Amino acid sequence: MRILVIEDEDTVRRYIAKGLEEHGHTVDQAKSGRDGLFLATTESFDAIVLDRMLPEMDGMTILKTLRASDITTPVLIVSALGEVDDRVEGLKTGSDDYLIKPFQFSELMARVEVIAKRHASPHLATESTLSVDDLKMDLVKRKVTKSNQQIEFQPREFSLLEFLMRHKGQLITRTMLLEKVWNYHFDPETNVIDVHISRIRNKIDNKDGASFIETVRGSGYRFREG
Amino acid sequence: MQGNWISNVRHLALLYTGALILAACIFGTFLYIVHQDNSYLESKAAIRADVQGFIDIYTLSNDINVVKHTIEERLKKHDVTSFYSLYNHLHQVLASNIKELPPMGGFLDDDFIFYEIPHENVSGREHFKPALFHSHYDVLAMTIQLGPDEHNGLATLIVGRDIDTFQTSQGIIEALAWISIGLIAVLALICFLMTFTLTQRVRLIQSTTTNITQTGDLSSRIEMTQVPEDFKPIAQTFNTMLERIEELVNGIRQVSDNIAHDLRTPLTRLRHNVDSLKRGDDSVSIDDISTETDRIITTFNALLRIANIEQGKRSAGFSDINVNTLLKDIYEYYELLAQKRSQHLEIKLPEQSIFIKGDKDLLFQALSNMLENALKFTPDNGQISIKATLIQERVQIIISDTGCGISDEDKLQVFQRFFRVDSSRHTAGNGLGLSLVKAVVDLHNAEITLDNNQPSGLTINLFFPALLRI
Repeated sequence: MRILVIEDEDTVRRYIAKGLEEHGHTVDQAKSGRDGLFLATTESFDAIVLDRMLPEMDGMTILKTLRASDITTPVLIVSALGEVDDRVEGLKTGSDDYLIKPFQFSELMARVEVIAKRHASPHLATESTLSVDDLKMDLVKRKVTKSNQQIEFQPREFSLLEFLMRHKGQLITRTMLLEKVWNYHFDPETNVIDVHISRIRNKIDNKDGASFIETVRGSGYRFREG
Repeated sequence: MQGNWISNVRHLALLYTGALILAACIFGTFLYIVHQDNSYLESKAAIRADVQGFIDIYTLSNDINVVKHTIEERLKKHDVTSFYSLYNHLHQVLASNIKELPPMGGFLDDDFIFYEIPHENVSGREHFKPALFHSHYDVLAMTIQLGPDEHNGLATLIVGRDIDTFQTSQGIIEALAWISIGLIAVLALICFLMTFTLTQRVRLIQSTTTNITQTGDLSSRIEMTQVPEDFKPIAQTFNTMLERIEELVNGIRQVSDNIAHDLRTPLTRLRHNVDSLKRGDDSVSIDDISTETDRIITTFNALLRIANIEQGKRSAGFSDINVNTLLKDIYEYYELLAQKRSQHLEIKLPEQSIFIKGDKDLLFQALSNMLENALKFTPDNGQISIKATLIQERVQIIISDTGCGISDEDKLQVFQRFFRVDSSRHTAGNGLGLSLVKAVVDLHNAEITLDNNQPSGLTINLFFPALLRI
């Protein structure tokens, strides 16, 4: 993927760029809002990582300008302004996700991949079945089968599995699960999510062999692609 | 500048006194002039007219006895204010109501003479009550010579008028003037005294504020016993304000102390770990440093969050919250964890959904903090319950556990930032969980109480104003 990083602080920008490059992405860097907007409008990117507070032109203005000129490149806002109001404002203006500083690189990576993929393959959102190996999810009938055997799922477990399977092969962080599956923005003290994941594992995994859901140490989970 | 001058109380008092004196002077002068003009001139005119009358009578009759007769007739009428004395050329009394004419009191302007005639020297006036404070009549008189004619020589006629009435009222006016001056003086004195005490009273408040601004010592208060009754409400308000400010400042002070302590400790640890790593110490891993940093960030975020909630600006983002859904979500979220720990988590909700106004994320965070505490401090096989009821327009949410509970003295402190019950020091946590709960509760105009659960454990009661749906 080709990703544009607009961030004025050198350390943070290099940190993001280096990480993304290590994951095999091509990164363009912009130090100021003006340069960033110029690049974003003249070149084509798969995703943009945008800082909110920038010299010359702030992040929200860049985002508004992009959306006003029908450039739909997915944007992840990275900001030290972390209150709900700021986040809501960012999302309303047309960003695809919002990440609060300081953050772990894996969190940023996971979110960039999710928004880029969603943008690249919009048909995924309208799929009615998801499947990996012999595990199948019928999103219309809301049924999960494994080797044609139906497995009982609670509604929340179903949503959790659906989210993971929709983003199979991608790193999904715990915070992302809280936000997207539970639909609450909060900081739990204990990793309760792990217990939910292990419950799902118990239901779908074979007794022996690799789990469908791989734990990425210190970051989150990845649903295997096959 | 003019405004400042007027606003000075002393100057204002001075101004009032001045205005009062001026008004009294104008009024007094006016009264005096009017009265003097009227009474004095009237008396003079009457005497002149009288005298002219007698001159006419004498000229017509050319007989002094006719004049005498006229006077005698007049005297019979018991006129109370007129005096007559007619003498012949031998200075023998022909007709008079003055028994003995005293020496002249003095010449006045326009040929008028002034006499002081003792009361007993006046005949035919015994029934007449003399004017107050006077032992004699004050008489304004005019003397004329009549004749001489063929029978008699030069006769002398004295025509007088009692001006006591006039003089008395003049006296009264004078007295009034003095009384007014006295009154004004007294009023001015009172005015200044009042101003003085007023300034003095305000000074009491002022000295307290000056003391605070100079020393920064917020503990000083206005001494209520020294404050006069009418100033008590303002002093009381002032003291209450000081108390609130002191509370806030102390809060900030305490928080910064706590931050210094609770952030410095992990920062020191981080620093040591980095140093060890630099020296090639194998016991420290990059992961340790990473974890330590995360912990600092979490604490920092929690602090910021509480501060933000306490500012209360988030209530603008309130929406209608279905308490049943909210509690079901939190129950569902922690149910598996409780199961894993062999704790029994139960939920009891009313059949009909109840609603409150609030911030979904913050409420979930607060509930999460309380449940994490409950799960953390409840032993295996313990029981944790979430309940909600609607009682008289209030939504009561009860979270109770069978853990170790909180002692009564600690209950007062658990909402303070970084406060940790001694027995919990060895467990994970930053001592901010319940502070955040309190901040969220306050933001929602809700109440929180901590009670003992029977036989052991803690019961948290939350009371939210219910949103009544029609």
